[in-house]
Amino acid sequence: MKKNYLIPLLFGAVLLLAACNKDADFKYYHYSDEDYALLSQYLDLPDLPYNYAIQSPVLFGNVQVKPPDPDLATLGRVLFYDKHLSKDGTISCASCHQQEFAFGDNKAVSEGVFQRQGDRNSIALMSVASFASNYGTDLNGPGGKRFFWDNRAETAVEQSIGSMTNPKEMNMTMQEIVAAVKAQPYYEPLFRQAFDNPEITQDNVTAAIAEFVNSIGSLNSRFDIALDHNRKAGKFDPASFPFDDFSPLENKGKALFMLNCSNCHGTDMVNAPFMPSLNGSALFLSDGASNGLDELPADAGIGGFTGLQFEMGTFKTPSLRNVGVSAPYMHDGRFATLEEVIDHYSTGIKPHVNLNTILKNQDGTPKRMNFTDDDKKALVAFLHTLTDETVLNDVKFSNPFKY
Amino acid sequence: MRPIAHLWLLLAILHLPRAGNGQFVQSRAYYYTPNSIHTPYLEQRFDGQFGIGYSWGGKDKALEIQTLFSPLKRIAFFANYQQTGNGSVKKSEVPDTRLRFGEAGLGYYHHSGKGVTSVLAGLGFGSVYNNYGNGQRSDLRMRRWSVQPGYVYDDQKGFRFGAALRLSNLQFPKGEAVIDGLFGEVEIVRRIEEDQPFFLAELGLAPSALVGPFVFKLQLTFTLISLDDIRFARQAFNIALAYDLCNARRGRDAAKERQGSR
Repeated sequence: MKKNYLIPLLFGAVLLLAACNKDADFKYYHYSDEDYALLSQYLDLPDLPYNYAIQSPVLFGNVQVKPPDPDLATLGRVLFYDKHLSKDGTISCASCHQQEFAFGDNKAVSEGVFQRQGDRNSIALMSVASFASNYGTDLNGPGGKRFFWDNRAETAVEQSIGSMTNPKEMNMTMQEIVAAVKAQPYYEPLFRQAFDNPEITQDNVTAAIAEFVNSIGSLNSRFDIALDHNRKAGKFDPASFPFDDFSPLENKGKALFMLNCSNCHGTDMVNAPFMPSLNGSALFLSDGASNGLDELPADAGIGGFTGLQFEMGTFKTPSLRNVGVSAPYMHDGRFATLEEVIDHYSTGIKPHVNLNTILKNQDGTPKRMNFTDDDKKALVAFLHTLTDETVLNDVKFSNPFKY
Repeated sequence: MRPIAHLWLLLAILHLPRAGNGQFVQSRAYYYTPNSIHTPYLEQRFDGQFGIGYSWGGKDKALEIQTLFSPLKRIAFFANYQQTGNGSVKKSEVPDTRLRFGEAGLGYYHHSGKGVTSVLAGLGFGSVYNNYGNGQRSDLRMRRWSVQPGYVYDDQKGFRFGAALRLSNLQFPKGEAVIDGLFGEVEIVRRIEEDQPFFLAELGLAPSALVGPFVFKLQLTFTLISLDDIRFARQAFNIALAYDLCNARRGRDAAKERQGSR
């Protein structure tokens, strides 16, 4: 009788051993063998393109305007990191938009070809929950945010052309860009994969870069996870409830942020609200503002592009995702740390004719938020909860070149 | 034996192929569909069951062959085979799926009164080949081990009802995908690769009617946790005809008794 029990037990033990999972051996075939061999000489690409749709357990709001085409985004990734697309072969888009700095850089102003100093700080592309659902009038209609600190580009295509042809950045003509792309052997199979008509043209090059840029998004910060937990518990306004997932210091910082900063930077970091500006007697909505950095700004900002007096000295108000890793700050990178930024809003706002209404007292003088040292520590702690480590290390956004 | 009492069951069996087509057939690729779970009724050594049937759970109906035999008292061996599609699936110009899965195992059973309690354990291997059309395809190898406690009630008047819970560990140790553009499918294959092994809990409910040594058997098999997002069929409906050694023996014994009493 006992022996009868032993047989299935023994068999069960054998099965358990069989269940030990060895590494699975999966092979994917997307490129032809010849194409993949050629690509592999230069690039570290997966045998199947990565999925560039935003992956997050916390998909709130409409963050995915359209799922990116993986082939097109893969081509865009290669172009984004390719230094052949600059005059002296030293600069790529990624030189000023580095993944480790949330696709910004760590310089006050960016450095372009021949070590030329740029005019402004590189905007961290991963400061948004979803590039595609925020930026671009092509994807979002007239409500789509515009590109650059001065909002001079309407779409990612325009933005990429602006950077590639800027003498202080990549300093190329678009004809030179197309020629540089045609000269690299790895592009032929990538274009064939990405386009029905694989001819290498300016439109195809910029469409691919735009597809990659538009696939960028950041939705896996501790703030997002906590926000999601609260929403699932029926608490929809992040300003009204402390987050269980946060420390007391972080919750204090969140409360201070929601009270003092969220009018411009948004409460959920997904969509910063458009802010009212006065255009004569009419109320005008813009995502730009003067935050009182200078009484007499050297840089006209949005006004320099539009020529409108009420926009002189105003700049894009970015959302603040990954702000903890994208120092330095402001359009000219004048503040090296978050503490310096908070000091500015605490006691340093200067009067300016276009100073945002929210930053003014009733008598028109600049506000003094007068944060205590503890307040400042709390705000910094909260701002670090906006860091999304997953996108900072996601291989699909990384440099694909082997050299 | 009162076969007329089980007319409802036979009618249901006759109706099932049509019902199955409507309710269980899916028009998309799938990567796993549960085969039927054994619900053995074994009283003693040399009892067993040899059956053949069809099930609906994945895309098309699947052929199922199920055998079970007790060579020793309280010990039973089993072997199963499941197949959907055939070699033509690879050459098909329209999307199609071929699944093949075979498993074998053994276990312990205990007969008491009108019921049999059993625990079976098995190990199976198979493959699922999805032809997505236009030369695109995936071919995944499967390995599944399982343990399944079960209970069968026999009313001794021609009706049985069995229930078994199959707890299994499903792995896909090898795979190959030639996919260009169908990124939804790529994502599923990738998830299968990365998320495995899958721990499945599948419940099988099986009423059956006995007519002489034959058993007409229905079985609804369904997973308790849905993996529909990676295209694992949630349920399968099986109809089968089996030759039942236990009931055959009972018939012979009854005949002998009748002869002896004359």
